[in-house]
Amino acid sequence: MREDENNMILKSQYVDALYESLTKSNLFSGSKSLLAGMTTNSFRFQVDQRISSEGIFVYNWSSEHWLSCDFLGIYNRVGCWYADQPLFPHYRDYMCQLILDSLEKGYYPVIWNGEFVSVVAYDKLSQTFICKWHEDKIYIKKNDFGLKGYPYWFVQFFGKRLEMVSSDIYKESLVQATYKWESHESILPYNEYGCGKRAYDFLANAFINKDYDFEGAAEVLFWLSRIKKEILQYLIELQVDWNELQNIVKLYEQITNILNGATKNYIVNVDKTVLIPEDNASEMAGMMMGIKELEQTAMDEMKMILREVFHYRNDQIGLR
Amino acid sequence: MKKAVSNIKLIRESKSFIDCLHAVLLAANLYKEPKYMLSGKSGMAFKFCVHRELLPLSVTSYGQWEAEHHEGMENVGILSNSFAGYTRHPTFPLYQEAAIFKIKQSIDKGIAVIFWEPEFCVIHGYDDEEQIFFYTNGLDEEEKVVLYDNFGLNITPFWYVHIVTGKADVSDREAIQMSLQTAIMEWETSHKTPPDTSIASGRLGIQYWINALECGKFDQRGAAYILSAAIQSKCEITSYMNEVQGMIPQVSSACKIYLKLSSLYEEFRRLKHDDTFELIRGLKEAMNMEEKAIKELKKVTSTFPNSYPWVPRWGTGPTR
Repeated sequence: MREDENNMILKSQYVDALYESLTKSNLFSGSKSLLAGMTTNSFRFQVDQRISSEGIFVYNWSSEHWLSCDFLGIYNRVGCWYADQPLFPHYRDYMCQLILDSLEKGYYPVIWNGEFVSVVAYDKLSQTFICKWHEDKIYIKKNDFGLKGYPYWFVQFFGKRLEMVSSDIYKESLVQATYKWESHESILPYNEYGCGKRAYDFLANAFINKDYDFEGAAEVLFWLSRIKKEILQYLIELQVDWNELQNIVKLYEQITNILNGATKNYIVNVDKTVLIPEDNASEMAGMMMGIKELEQTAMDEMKMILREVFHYRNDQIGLR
Repeated sequence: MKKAVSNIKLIRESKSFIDCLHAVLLAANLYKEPKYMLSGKSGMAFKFCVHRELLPLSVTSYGQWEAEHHEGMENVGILSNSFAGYTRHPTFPLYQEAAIFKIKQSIDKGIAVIFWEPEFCVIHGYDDEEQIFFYTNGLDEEEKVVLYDNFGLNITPFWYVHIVTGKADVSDREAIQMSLQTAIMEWETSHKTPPDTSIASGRLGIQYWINALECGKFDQRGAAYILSAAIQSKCEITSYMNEVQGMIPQVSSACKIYLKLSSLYEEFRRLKHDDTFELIRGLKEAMNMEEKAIKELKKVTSTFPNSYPWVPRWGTGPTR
């Protein structure tokens, strides 16, 4: 974890680790927001009923992360399961061997260690993986692999990258964005989690009922703010060659402005924890519904721009 | 380089994946029990799906294969690796190349490989000079070949390869408990390939079957395939339950019902080809009977330790 510009402590997201890994593996050379957009990671948002910070990492790692790289044309393999299952020790040994093989080839895997980190080296003497973690490094003993982010373990390996037409990747990312906006993450119980546009209803409800995790809500809102900023940056980059995106960019400017303004409703404690107090909850609820409306307009615009794709994909817009 | 695994005895009788897996494991000396035990413990015998128009694909449409097969194999302690996807996706050639390499590696180790032709078949050898794999489909004695270049391409839009990598010890009791939970889950889940609702699982699957027969608009070949597969599955379940009750005596009441159910399905075999009226009547009876069997299984599983408290970070969802 590290401190953000707003003193908020944010965990390292998948995209942070992916960016490190792909850049170092010479598979990607662009900004982090470009990567987050192209892989559709910034378009995924889900929240539970009490806005706990747990919600940030609750989604289908296995399929979402594999897809992230497949969109870019990068060969990748994902391994992921419970670390308390009887077969775990076998998987651990096998995965550790694969990590070593991968490092040797110059491909740097992403692993889960309570947050996502990029494995950059291995120290034979101490049998330790050296991982990039924000600007710092952390050290994970080979035998501790999979145990820090209990009860889950996760590794993603990378390989060759195909030559792909960038504009196709951009287009697909926006189609996937509308897909994420409209659909529920199928591994999550429908009544307990809100995904895409439904997430805003969950946020607003929790704020209206004043029944939420005060600190978790601040963390989730920082995350929300972060991904909307990433989307804005992404769309600004795309706009250079893609004029039609102008209106959508303006909408995301408004969204990020509202979220920036929301920080006045946060309280920073002496111990640097941040929370959203009950007194500010109704204002937050209003903001959430306002953002939802803006983003819905943005999504409608995207669908207009890409209407041909939607036409031939019929009712399965996510299926390439 | 030319190599082959000997002693592959592929006999088509169960679900083709289980037929293949059993043949592969036996030849590699990784499994000793009869096929019905593998089918039962892996939960595969309990998977039953029907397309609205009784298309032949019903029998293998029991979910997303990677997830279904991995879970089943994991349950009997088989470690494995799989490759799958749509052949139309741009990254297919990258995965095809990797799969070819891994298949050869596996054959070098003496473990044959399962792939989708379609139906599942077993690759038991390769010849680098000719650039071909040798495989059998279990339907005839003939050894078939496929060019490396064409590997994965088939009449369906997707491809699939499953490679067994090893074996770990798992307790019989745990495997059985999981398989009984799978039985209940398969019966109660309506659709295993969401958002597609044209294929139904378990209880609703039988209802789809009855509906199709009643309205008379269905695929003849598919209808025959569904029936013969169902007869075989019930037969396997009965043999499996019979063994299980030795270890978990509470299963005996469910076992008795499955025994009756199995002989009811056997009677269907003797029905005249056009006697749909009798088949419909029989299927309605079978549905009630299986409902009772599942009810008995639920009584048994309610005594097992509580199901897993964590939300998984993987699982089946719409393919993209």
